Amino acid sequence: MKAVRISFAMRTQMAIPPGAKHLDAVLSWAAVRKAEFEGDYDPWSKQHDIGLAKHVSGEDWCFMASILDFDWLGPKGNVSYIKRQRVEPYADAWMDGLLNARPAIDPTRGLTKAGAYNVPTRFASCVYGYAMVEDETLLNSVLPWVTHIGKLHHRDFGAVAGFQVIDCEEATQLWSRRNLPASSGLATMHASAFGSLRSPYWVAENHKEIQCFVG
Amino acid sequence: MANLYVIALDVTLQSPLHITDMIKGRFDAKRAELSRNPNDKFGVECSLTRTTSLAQFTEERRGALVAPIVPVIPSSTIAGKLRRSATDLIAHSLVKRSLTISPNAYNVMTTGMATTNLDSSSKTPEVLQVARNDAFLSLFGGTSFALDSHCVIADGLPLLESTKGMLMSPVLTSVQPFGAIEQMTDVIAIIKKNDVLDQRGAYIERVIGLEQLINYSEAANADAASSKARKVAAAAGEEVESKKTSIRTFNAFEAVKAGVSFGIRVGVTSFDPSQLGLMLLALQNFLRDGQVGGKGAKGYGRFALSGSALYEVDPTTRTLTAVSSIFEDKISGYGFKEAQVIDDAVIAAQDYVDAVEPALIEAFTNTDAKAIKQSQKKGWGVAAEEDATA
Repeated sequence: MKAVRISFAMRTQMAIPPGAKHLDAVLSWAAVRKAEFEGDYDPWSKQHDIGLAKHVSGEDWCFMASILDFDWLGPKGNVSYIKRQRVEPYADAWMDGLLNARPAIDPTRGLTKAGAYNVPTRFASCVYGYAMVEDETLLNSVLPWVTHIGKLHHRDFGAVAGFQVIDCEEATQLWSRRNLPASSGLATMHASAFGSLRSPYWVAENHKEIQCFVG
Repeated sequence: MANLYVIALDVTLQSPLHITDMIKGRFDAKRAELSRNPNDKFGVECSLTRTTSLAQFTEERRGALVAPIVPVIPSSTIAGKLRRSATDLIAHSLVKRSLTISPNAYNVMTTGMATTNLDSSSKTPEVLQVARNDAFLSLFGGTSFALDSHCVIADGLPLLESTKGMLMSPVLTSVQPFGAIEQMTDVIAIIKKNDVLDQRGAYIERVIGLEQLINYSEAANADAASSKARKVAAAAGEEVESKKTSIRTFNAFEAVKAGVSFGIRVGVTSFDPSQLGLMLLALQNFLRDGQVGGKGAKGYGRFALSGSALYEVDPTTRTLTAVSSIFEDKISGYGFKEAQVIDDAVIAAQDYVDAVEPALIEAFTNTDAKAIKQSQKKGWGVAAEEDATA
């Protein structure tokens, strides 16, 4: 196993993550995109092929990868966007005979509901995390696929300009700054909580009792 | 194996551009001063155009961190235009073939976002495979399955020394020597007049009648007097009911000056040439329309292409290789340049558009995973293509 610090230089401002973001979550997202690009029938099944070592405790396991740290730069901003329907395209589509039923637009409910959305944003000069690497070749093949970090990546927010992997002895300790299995003996600055140990972190069905890093 | 591309367009404004920001500013016409702070008390309310901050150039001013700002064409505006352009291409094909879709399916195509029945749990490998093989769904995503989009549409940034590092690909034309945002924007004031009260035109008296005109004038004067009294009372600290009494108004909005150039960049993951082609066709429509932002009916937001390029992206090193420029000039209607990649992509996209099956769009609209799986067995699209040939 090799202890490393993985850092990403950013090109654009990013949507500020609402909570802690794990390094392995970003790598899992990249692994799925890589598998999809290569024509894998079930890319989601490749989400844990990221080349990092695993920490096993009882029946639970997690990747030996810390949460991400952000070197924020400049003031916070926000990006706002609205969803709304214009009547004219529907009227044109109806008059052209495209629609099989008369359209109705109700901006207060249903499919045509209008909405205003606001996402807090900020620029980070560098985003980094610590990890223990088991398969360096696999990790190096996944890293170029970390093209963005955070939400609104399809709008080019959180675009990654480049990455760097450097040997880092401290990573043997620092990787544990993350969600750990409830029975793990490595918890130092952790509190008992409900959460996920690995991706997909957002799926509520995966949430269980864990030790959450609060340092 | 798919292909990665970056499509680069440099466009130049031919008329002022205004894209309303959520935050309003204040404008003092006498001092010609614009404040971006909505809490300032001077002048009149002023609609600001959308901006983004350049945090890389943050400075400390009077103890506070301040980042310079530049105007942007928001990615959501560009993405909305491109999605609608692609929808229009499909809609025309369906109408031509006397096929119809439901209003809900049309809604999902134009906005992508179903606000009800989001069902990401049914995103099985089969469903994702069908979506990936469909040019429109793969490119723009959305629907009740919350599909990923396989294109990255960035904010249109002004082509400046300070922004060129934020673009997906190099500047095609040249960077412009603007510094502060004030060099790129103007405040435009609109005065709404009362033609009746001002008696503009000799016909007014004949059309309205002298008696009516006098009554109207007296009522307007009374309103003006009561408005003045309310202002005096408000200034004295009394609580008064706000009431608009005059249609004469003075409004102001901020607009980006004509001549400012923007870089529009789109990244595409193309699992099939038709996906790159559909994006190129959508961009061609976007260019032909040549308008972005608000007040289009008054001629605002007109733009013309000043440079275009298609790059292939190496998935391992992320380096860009220039393939070709994409579009001819405006006079030619932004026809496509001759290049094998572009020709193949556009032909594949036209074949796709000619064969789109409404049933597949409906299945994705209605979260009908069963119908989507059956579509693979039926070979939708292929069948329609054969029908069209017959």
